[in-house]
Amino acid sequence: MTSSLFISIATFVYGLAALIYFCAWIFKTKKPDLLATATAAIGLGINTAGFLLRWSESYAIGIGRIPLSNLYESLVFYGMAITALYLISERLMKIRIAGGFALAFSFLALAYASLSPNVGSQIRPLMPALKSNWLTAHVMTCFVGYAAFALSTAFSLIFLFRSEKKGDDETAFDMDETSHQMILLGFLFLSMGIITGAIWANSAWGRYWGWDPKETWSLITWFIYATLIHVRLVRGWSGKKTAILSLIGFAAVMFTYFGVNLLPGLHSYGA
Amino acid sequence: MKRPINQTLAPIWDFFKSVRLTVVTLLLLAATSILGTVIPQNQHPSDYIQAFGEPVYRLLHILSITDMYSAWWFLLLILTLTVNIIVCTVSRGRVTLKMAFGKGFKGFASLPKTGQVTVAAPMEETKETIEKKLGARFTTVREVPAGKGFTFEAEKGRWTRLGADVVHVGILILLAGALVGSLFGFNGSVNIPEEESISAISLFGSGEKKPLGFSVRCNDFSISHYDSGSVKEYRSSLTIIDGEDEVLTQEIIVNKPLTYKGITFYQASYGTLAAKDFTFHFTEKSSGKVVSTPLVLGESVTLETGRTFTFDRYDADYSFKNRSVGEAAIGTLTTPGATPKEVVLLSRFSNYDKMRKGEWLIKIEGHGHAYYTGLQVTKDPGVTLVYTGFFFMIAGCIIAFFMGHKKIRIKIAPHARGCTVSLFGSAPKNKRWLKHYTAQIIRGLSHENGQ
Ligand code: HEM
Repeated sequence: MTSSLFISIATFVYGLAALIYFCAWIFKTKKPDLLATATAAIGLGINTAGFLLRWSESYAIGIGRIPLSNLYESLVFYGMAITALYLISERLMKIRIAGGFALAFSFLALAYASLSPNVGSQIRPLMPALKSNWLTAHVMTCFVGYAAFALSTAFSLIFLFRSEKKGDDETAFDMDETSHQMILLGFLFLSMGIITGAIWANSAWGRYWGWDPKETWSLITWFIYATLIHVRLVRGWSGKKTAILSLIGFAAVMFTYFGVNLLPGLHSYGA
Repeated sequence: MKRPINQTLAPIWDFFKSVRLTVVTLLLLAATSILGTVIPQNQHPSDYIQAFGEPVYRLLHILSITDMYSAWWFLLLILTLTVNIIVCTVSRGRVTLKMAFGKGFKGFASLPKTGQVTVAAPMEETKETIEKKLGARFTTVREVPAGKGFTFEAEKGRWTRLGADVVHVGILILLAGALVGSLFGFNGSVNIPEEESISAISLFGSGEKKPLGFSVRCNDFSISHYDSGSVKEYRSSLTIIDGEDEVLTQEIIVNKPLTYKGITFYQASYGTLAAKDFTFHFTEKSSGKVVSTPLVLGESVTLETGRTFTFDRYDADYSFKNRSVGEAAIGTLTTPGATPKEVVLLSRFSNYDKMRKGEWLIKIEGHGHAYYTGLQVTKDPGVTLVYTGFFFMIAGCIIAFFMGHKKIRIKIAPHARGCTVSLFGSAPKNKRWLKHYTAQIIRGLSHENGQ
């Protein structure tokens, strides 16, 4: 399976990109900027190639489906989504400072996919309930949302490290504001993810909501971010307080993604 | 709407109006929901007693934590949120509507200053540049009288102030749909053997029988497999019979249910009732002569030597020396002038009959299966409302998050060398945009004047 080789290479390239971004940040130099962005973009290219290749491999063995249906595949897509979203935001906002954390997240996602022994990388056929376009929409929107939350976390982390050292107000403002924008994007996509999931569940099982642990945890995450949005918008919180809330929200995202499998329940396809 | 005049209602109104209540309720919902994922829901009491012990189970039961998502206190939290949204939306309603659709250009005098620049170009020229720039960006631009200079005001996206209300109304519609579903819907299941029909189902929870008002026949059920052996698809062909008429025949698979009169049938499970369509294979040892014949239950075949084999019964799980050996056909072999003998034939082990050491070796050559299809049957008249709520929520989020209300005010005042341009503005949803837009205008003006 060559697709997993691509993923291993992408993991390495992401790690390298994260390192370059971190160096630029720590040594406060702009020299490696282009190199960092180029490395991240190459990593994204390889990651995407791996994703597409896996898709075509599934056709070659007669299963033929978009690779979004188990933990391995979702991690590969997650790494792709984080890097893509980061590169877009870097281009739009012209801020590179969060690149180290962002690429570190992509790196961790792919490293977990390729190294962890309990993440099966074999292409398996779909069980009947998973054959639905709503499922594809569900997984994609959820992971774009999770990617936005990962980036908001990256910006919040920079904000927190900065404000300790009395960093310049300019960066603090940018970090705070960008983190919030990412949370809004993430909230929109998480909402769409929960909704497409509900529609899929309704078409497969005749109920749009069943309080299974995975569903419930995605709702808990949604409540936390809804709280954040309200305290910021209506009560005027910002800066450190919302940065900490954003980290708590991301912890809930991670639990929804990985932790729920430790709980008793049904939603076991890891996506 | 203003606060109700009634003095006793006013504090209650204020309580339900506050966003502090929203935050507390949302966090309580999050915290209690965690509880429901840590403690498995709706298990049998004995499971809880085994896991937690009797006293803890009592406590969980009294607090309804074993079925917490329909517990009174959980529903009360949702109700609180609902009332909170209604009161909040209503009390802000008039202001919001005025802001969105009333007279524009409100509060421009107090916009915060975002930048200032002095340029060498004459005022008239600067005025033209600014007018053009604003026109390209904003839907409404106006010039206000301003002493010796000029002042422009521009705004855009006033109606997007309604975004948050669209989200909130979406949540209300969704909750209304959930309520309608739980009041007027039902959820149950039924098993239908192939070629048979049913006209009632049993409800989940109570197990109560619920007549459908029409009948459903399962014409056929089939499973297909991938090469690897795992299941690819379950498929049932169903016919709806209403009164005397067969009104509808449709194949359903998982994810493609059938709906008739608001009642939806989902492919949920299946099972094997019995084997059918048996073919038996007889070999005479002495001559090697072979006979192959299909038999239904109770039917007999007479072989050339005068022996008769009767197919008596089918056992889905036969046990041999206390071991399960799978499906078996059991028959009687009658030889003229001897006592009839029971013969057991296994579908999994075709040479099993060799042990009998008879004149004829009998095997099951093949057989099919009679299945029943397991359907989940639901009626939920609230789904349309729920989906409408979904739509509003998404649309509202897009409006509230990414479209935002933008206001800009630009003042041009005479200066000893050229003129001074001051910018004021607000864009609560897009502060970075405001910063960049200000910088862009200033850069543009300085540039054109070679500074
Ligand atoms: C699950 C429940 C809720 C969700 C998901 C929700 C969602 C939202 C969203 C998405 C926004 C728009 C934020 C923005 O413009 O950036 C918002 C704003 C707002 N919400 Fe909620 N909300 C909920 C409950 C409530 C409740 C119960 C209240 C009542 C007090 C409330 C009061 C407000 C207010 C006052 C705003 C600000 C509106 C504005 O400034 O234009 N929300 N809410």
